[in-house]
Amino acid sequence: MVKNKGKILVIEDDEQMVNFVKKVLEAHSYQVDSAPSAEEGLKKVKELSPDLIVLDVMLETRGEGFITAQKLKSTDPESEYREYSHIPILMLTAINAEMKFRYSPETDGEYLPAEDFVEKPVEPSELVQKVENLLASKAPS
Amino acid sequence: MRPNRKEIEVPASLPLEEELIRQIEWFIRQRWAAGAGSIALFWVMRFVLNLPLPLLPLYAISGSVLAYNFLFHQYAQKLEAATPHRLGSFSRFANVQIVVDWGALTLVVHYSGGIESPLIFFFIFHVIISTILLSQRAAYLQTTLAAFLITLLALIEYYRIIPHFHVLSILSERLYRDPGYLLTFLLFFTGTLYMSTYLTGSVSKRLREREKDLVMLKKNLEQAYHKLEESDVAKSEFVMMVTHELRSPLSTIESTLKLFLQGYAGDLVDEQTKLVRGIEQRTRFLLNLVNDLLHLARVKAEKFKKEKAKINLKEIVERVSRSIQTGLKTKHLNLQIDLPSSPVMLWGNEDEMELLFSNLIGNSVRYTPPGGSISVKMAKENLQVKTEVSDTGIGIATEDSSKIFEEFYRAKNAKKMVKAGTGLGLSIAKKIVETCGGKIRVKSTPGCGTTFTFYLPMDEQ
Repeated sequence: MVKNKGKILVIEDDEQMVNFVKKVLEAHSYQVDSAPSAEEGLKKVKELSPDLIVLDVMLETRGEGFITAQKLKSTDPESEYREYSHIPILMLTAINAEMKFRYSPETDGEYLPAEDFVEKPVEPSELVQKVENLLASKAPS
Repeated sequence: MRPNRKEIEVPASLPLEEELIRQIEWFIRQRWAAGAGSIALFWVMRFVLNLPLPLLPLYAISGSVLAYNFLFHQYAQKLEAATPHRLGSFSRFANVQIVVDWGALTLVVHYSGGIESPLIFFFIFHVIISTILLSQRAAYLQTTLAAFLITLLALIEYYRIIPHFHVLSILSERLYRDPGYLLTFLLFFTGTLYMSTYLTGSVSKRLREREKDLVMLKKNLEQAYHKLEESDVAKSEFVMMVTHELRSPLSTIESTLKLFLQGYAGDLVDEQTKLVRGIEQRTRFLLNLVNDLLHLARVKAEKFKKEKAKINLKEIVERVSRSIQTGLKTKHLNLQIDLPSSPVMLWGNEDEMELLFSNLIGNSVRYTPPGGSISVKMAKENLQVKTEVSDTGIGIATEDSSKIFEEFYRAKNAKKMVKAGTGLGLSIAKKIVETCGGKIRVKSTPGCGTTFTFYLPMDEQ
């Protein structure tokens, strides 16, 4: 199988969920890497410089995913992730997990450090669709 | 603002002190009546009963009683205004009042016939009052003072140190000079005074003890109530934690099962697909159950710590109606929304309000056969907003309508129509309405449709 549609990093502590994302995205010709924690995820971002990051909201602690995304998207010129801040982030959340985090790119984009959300349980077609959209909107730049 | 749960009142001061303060006020009120009543009484005795009463000194005593009562009244107000209240100053004040009363009463008795005076029985009333007001020891001392004053009066009249007023002509004019009668009278009278003190004292002691018990009981109840509240919150928090933990693996299972069904793990044979689909359905049911439990626990827990804001119910209804469009289309249902023209502002939790509307409208979508219609009507009524969610669905049998708001209850016809349901949706809706200080009720004709009507307090300024 040709894996040329893009490099995707999955930061998720649930191994079974990683398998799921891998299975779906690899079937659609993406190259998928994974990291089981926020710390390793950040390391891998530097290592691999992926085209897109799939990030779980709940890692070791609730909301850790948000902190990680905030680090990656920091506008601070001193930030060590400055050169990675353009990488789109797709967040995974449990259904209505935190109702407050119900996401809409138009209204929440300013303060939520992610380009889009997918709710768990994940519908495979929705995941593929969102990944494709994010990579397409990024492509022209 | 929303009505708060009634707090249990805790008395600011000790019950005994409170009681004495109240009773001193009562005592002063009684003296106003006694002073004024004595004026009328003397007049009746003199002019109706034709008793030869010396009215001038008696009216002078009545006047003095009213005058010193005025001073007592002033002083009582001063004592009450002073904070903190001191029990000592109140009981001293009560003692002083009673002593002054004894003086006035002894004079009244003197001018109305000494030991022959029919007014001598007022001593007994006053002993009862003083025993109610004072501690047991002080009450006996006061009674002794009263007995002493009466004895003193009888003796100085007997020895003719002061004149004797003969009032009751049917009695012998020499009665007060009869040592045998005098001794018997004083013995019986003093005995009666002490008996009254004893009886009143034991009754009021029992009453006070009962009051103390009541105060203790109230305190215990309060404590138990707070403990219950705390454990209810703790329980809800526990349920929230557990459901959070359950949801994550369930989501993963559900996602993975979808992989199978959509062929990501290779093609399945028919038999396998059927089995996996069955598992997937059960898993989805579990997920819904966990979500509903989480909502319920959240509503319960947040009764005590809720993030609230001013919200526009119209926006919520519009948002919910957008979210159910797919369901409406697949079942060919017609949704009619009738909202007031101005915003409907309410003080509450946005997520909960959305949950309330999506549960009720969602139910209508679920239990209305294809081609039917659903309507949401909202109208302002005084300071409340009345919302009606009606449908042309399967309806609710009369015997079910009282139970549908119970947790996990599902009506028979509902189970028949939609197999997987948690039976929590309506109890969540009811909890939300009630925590907002509102009311919800249901009207239904089986086979024709159902209308849920609920009222929520508005926050319009």
